[in-house]
Amino acid sequence: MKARVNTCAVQQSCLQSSALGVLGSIAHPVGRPGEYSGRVMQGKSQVAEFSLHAGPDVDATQVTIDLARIAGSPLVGQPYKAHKYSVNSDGYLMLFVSEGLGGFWVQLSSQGTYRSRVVFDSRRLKSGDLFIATLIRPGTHQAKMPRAVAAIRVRAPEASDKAFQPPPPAGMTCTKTGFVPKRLEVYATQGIVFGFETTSRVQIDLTKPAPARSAKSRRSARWRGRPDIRR
Amino acid sequence: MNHMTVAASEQSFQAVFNHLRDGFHETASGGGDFGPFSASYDVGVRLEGGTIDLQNNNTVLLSELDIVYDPLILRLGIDIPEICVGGFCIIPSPFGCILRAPRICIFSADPDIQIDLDLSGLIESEISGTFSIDTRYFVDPGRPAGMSDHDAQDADVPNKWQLFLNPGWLDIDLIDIADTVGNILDAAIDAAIDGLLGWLPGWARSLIRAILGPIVALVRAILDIADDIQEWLSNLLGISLGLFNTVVTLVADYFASRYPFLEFEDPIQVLDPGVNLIAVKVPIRDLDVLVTDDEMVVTANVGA
Repeated sequence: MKARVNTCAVQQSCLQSSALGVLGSIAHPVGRPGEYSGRVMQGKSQVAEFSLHAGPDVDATQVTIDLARIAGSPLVGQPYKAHKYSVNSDGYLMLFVSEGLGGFWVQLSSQGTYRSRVVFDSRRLKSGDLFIATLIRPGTHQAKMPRAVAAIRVRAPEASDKAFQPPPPAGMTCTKTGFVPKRLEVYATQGIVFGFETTSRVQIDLTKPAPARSAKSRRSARWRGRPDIRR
Repeated sequence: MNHMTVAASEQSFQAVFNHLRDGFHETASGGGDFGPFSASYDVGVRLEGGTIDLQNNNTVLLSELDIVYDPLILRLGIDIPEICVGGFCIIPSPFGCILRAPRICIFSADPDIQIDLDLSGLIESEISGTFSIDTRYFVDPGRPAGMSDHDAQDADVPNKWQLFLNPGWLDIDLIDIADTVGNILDAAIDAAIDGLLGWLPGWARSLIRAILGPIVALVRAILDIADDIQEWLSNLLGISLGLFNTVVTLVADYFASRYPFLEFEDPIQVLDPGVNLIAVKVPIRDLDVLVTDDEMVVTANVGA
C-alpha cells in the first residue's frame, strides 16, 4: 500500500501572497507585447530564472509556472536552468507552488533596448493582479493586508451520497479602505480570488481550527428504569 | 479363463473412493491485472461427499462431490484516484476559460489500496463427472536394478499394478455464494481506506473522504460491481481468475495420475513366510478391469 500526501498542503496554516507556497497562486496580466525576464526568489536566494515572450501571435491566454518545479537548490550547488515561456500579450502569467515549503516571490522585468525595468513584483500586487487561495482546512481564518483584516470561515463538506464538488470560487477585493466583503464563508477546497484596487499583499492565517468531527457517530444503548429492589 | 478374479461391490468402491477423496488437500494461487484493479487468490481445496455409481459401460459416475474452499483469500488491488484541489475557472469567456487556477494534488501518485477478502467457506461448488479405470504398471524409481522381489518388498520399493480413475469429463457447478459476501466486501473497503488515511489528521481524513464521495460506492464502481455481487464474484473467480478451472484440473490430476485408488504389489504375496521358509509370491500379468452396474471386477493371470 503506497500513498503520497502533499504534507505541506495538509500542514499549511498560513498563506502569503508575498511568499508564495502551496495552495496559493498569483495571476498577473502581462498587458504589453514584449520580451520579459523573470527572477524566481526563495527568501533571499535566486533559485530560478525564466524568459517570457508575450505577443498577439501567441494563442495561449495563460502561462502557468510551477515555481517548485523550476527552482534549483543553490545551497547544494544545483544550478538553476533558464526556462522559456510564451503567452498572448492579453493573457496572464500564473505562478503557483505544487509542493514543498514555498516562500517564493518573482520579479518580472521587461527587456528594453538599453536597460531592463521591473514591471511586476509578486510581493506587491497591483490593480489587475489576482491572488488565488484554496483553503482546505475547516475553521476560521483571518485575511490580512496592511491595516485591514477580514474573516473567512471555511466549512467542512457535508457528508453526502455523492463526491463533494466545491462551489465556484468566491471573490474578495483589496481596496484602500480594506477588504470587501469583510466576511466570507466558503467550503474547504473552494477557491477564493482576491482582486486588487490598491497595491497590497495578502496573508491568510488559520486562527481557529474547526473542532474535529468523528467520522461515525457513536451510539450506545442505555437502559432506563427503576431497579427492582426487594428487601 | 483368467487365473485370478477379484470383485468389489459399489459400496466397497464407494468406501475406497472416500478414503482417496479424504486424502485430497491441494493449494493453488493465481491472479491477474484487469485495468482499474488487480486481483489474486490463494486457495486451499478439500473434497467432501460425492456419490459413486458404477455404470455398465465400464465407467464410474461421480456426482455431487463438494469442493470445500478452505482457505480462500481474494486480494483486490485498487488505484484510487488522485485527490486534487483548484483547477477552477477564474475568468470565463464564451470561447472557453481565459484564466484557470492551477491544480494542486494533496493526495496523489495513485495510492493503492489492497482489500483482502476471506471467502473461506462462503462459496459452495460441486464436481460431477465420469471416470474410466486405467491400469498402469509402476516400477519404483528407488528400486536398484537386480534387487530381488523379496528384498524390494522389505525395502518398500516393490513393483505395483495400479488402478487410476481417469476422468472422461468433469463439470464444476457453482452452487451458492453466501449473501454475506457483500457485507464483508464493504467492511473490508472501509478498513482498507481507514488504514490508508489513518495517519492523517481527522479533518484531512474527512475532507478526502468527502472529495472521494461514498468510498464503498467508489470502490464498487472501480471494481465494476453492479447490483449483484454474487454474479460479479462468480465471474471474477470463475472466468477472470480461472479458479474453478484450476480446481477441476487439480481434482482430475489427483485422481488420474497422482494417487491410485487401488494397487497390488507384483509379484503378489500368496503365502506368508514360515519358519525357515520365505514368502511365496506369484507374478501378476494381464491385469484388467471390468465395471458393471453392480461391481468392479479385476482379473489377472499368473505368469512370469
